[in-house]
Amino acid sequence: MALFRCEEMALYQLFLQSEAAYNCVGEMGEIGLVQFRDMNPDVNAFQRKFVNEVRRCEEMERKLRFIEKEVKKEAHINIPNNVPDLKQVPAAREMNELDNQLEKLENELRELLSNQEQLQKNFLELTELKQVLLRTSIFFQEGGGHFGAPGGTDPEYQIAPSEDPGASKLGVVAGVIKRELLGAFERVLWRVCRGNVFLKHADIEEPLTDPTTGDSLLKCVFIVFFQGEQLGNRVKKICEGFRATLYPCPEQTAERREMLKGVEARIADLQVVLDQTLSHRTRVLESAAANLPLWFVKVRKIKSIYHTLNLFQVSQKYLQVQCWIPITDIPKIQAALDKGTSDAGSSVPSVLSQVPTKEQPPTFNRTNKFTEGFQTIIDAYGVSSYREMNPMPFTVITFPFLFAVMFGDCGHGLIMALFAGLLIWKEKDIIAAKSKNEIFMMFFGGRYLIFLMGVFSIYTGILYNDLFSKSMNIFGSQWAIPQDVAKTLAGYSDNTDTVELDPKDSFKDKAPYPFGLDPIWQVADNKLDFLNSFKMKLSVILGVMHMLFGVVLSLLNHTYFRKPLNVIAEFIPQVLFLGGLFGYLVFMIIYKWFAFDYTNSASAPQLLITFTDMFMLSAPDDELYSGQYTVQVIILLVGVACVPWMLFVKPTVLYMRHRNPAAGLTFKNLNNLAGDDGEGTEGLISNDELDRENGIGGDDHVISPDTHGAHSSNGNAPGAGGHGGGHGDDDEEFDFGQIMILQAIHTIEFCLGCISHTASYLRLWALSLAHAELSEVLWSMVMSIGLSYDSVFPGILILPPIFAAWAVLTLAILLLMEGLSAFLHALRLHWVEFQSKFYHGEGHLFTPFSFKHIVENPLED
Amino acid sequence: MAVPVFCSPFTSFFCAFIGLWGLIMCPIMGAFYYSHAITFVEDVPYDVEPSDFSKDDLESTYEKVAINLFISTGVYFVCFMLCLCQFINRKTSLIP
Repeated sequence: MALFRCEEMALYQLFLQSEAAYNCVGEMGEIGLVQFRDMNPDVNAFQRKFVNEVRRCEEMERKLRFIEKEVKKEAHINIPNNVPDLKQVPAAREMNELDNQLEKLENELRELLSNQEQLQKNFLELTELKQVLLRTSIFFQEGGGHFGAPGGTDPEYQIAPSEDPGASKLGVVAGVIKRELLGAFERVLWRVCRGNVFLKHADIEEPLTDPTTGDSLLKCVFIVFFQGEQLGNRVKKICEGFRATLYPCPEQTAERREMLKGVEARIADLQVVLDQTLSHRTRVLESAAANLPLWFVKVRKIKSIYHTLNLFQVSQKYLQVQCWIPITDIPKIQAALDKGTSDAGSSVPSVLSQVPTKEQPPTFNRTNKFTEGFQTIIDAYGVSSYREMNPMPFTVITFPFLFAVMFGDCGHGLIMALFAGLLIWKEKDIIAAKSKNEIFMMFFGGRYLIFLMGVFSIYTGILYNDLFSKSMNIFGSQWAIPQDVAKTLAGYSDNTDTVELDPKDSFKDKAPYPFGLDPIWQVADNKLDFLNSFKMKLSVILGVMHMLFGVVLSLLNHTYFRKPLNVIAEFIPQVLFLGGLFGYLVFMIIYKWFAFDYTNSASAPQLLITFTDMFMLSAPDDELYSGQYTVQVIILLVGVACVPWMLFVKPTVLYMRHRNPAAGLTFKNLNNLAGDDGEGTEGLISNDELDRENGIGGDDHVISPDTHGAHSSNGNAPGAGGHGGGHGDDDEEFDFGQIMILQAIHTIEFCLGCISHTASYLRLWALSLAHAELSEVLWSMVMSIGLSYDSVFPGILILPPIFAAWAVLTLAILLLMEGLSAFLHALRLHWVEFQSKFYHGEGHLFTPFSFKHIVENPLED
Repeated sequence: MAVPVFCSPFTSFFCAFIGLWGLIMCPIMGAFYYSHAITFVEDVPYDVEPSDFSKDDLESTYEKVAINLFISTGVYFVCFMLCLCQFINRKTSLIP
């Protein structure tokens, strides 16, 4: 049954015709039920058959990423988020079409980009030229209008008044430089030209955009007047060094005005062209953006198909591969293969044939959205071995229950359940949003788990009668202060503000509160005395029950794998030990609850002392029941006898079987008993009813090759097991020492584990106590303050903020911190205490080739 | 509603959630206080000598605290509405 164990798997060989291979593999990806094995493990990635196709796909992905980047630069274009998966295999020719399309698009975009850059560079030059023309007109005017005459207004730069009319003609260099470089520029000019040049500068107010980087820069216009050819050259070299762009500046005002007009006209034209280019680019990007997710999905699918085809063994006419398939899905897979073959237009059908193997198949647990969370937390500790009992169906109930025992509070459980309920209600939207926040996705993945935890916590909260640390009085308390005590209350002094109620007088009708804890305990000072004892005993009961259940599951494993030796040598002594000793403790707890009440509670023996005395074989002073001493001695002797039973029986039997193989034709061996689970690799021949251990020889025999023709032959086992008891291959050694040591380890682990695990379950008590106390402290330290005002005026100012503070602290401390803590401890109880009784957890997961998985996780290759 | 937005979407959602919690829990607690529930007896500000104990005084104190709680319900209602408007005005998705 696939619910309690993983799916039955088989190793199959798949033969595909070369033309149909692509389509068939695509169909396999769509259904996602086949795990392919690499048939060429030694071949380099670059030497595989389909490496060119994979390269083409990667090129296409690169182009897609480039296009995506360009689209993202334009913030207003939206890439559609949820693309419905068409569940179609992209046809092989689509790859070519897509490749061409993407190449065209990429080229167009690159061209647009470079054009745009060029245009922007021109635009920048023209703008700078315009600025230069505008500002330098001011400089020339300041120069007095007669160009060439000395600038008399400026005493620093005295130019000899027209001694040499030819030599006194000033040269001009005008340009634009970055503002931050201006100071250094001026200094270098001064030093190099020995102060013989005249620099004037003016800032350009609006920042200019650099075409390549897109940064906006602040620049300023400068103009240098110099005399002579040499100085001119020096000035020009310095300008080059400071990366200042020089512009020709006509000296006459009229010329300048003409030039300015021309420049402005050209700027206007260029602006128009730029705008048109940008709008064209936007249009192209918008049309691309609509298709982008679909293309991504297609390219990923194609690439994954070729990656998988690379795993195949290629020959002339056909490709072959080995794959793991769940047996129940074979018709589905066959249908998919047929569809693929017909899509490719090929007439030769693909062939599936079974391959006998001794390898352990991968573990495939079919889960739905509800069970997936539980399976995940079990797999986190260890994936179950092939066909052993899967603890998941039981964990669905036991895990929330143990959590709730530690967390029991109605109010907190309600909030938790509502939170998870919200996640469940909105799950379609949340899945579509594809959030990348890991912590949130972790909570979301466990939404059903959290919901169950919350619901169970409401239940245990009602049992513990705890609602935000206050008790609910639903049925009316069964305790009442008797009349005579009430009359004397008025005479009590301040020191005694407690009253002790004797159950004889105060307990109504001798009947307890119908469901849960009586609300009177909330106001009782000795609440913890009662509750601690109760919760500790409850924890021990739950713990022993849980562990016994684990041992019973191991019985189911032993019967499934046909190992009667394990049943006799391991299961029965384990049950006797655990059930006898700790089951007796549980019996005593329950018996004491029934047998003693308030009338004879003074004479009730302490269970801990009784239990210890049992081990010391001393006679009890008070007896729980008559004949207790005899019963305890018997139980103890049985328990002690179980230890050598667990230790010696199994290795001895194996040893004897190893020594006398011929004598092994007993009924036991007809069922092919295996030895102990040495290395855990279970053989799978044609079906898993014939298991065979490695490392143990003996008369377990292999099915001879001529009987493995048909697959899933369930009826074969007993018949095939009968003959050939003689030819066991004793190639493997029989290491008695190792078996003995392993058995000793198992025995010690079990026996000591029984005690330590039972004590470990006391954490159920400890955490529930901590939770209740934290809750109470939070209420009394925070909320109480807000409620302690009986007049409206200060009360209404203080109560709302106090309530808000209490609410936030409840969420943070009690829900998040305590919730995580209880979750962790419940998980530990499952992983260690429960699963160590039966679970091997040495399997590996089934990782099928599935498009769904690949499309959702694109970064894995 | 033209309410200016002054907090991040997560803060507004969180405050709306606390407002809702107060909106639901405060009237319930107020109702229990009004009906003199014993479970709150330790939180009621009625601290007198045992000789001066009067049941009617205790009950009236209970009722005063209940009034406080009902008023704070109103405060939480305002807070909840405010934060809800913030959240709706933001129109952004809550999913992080």
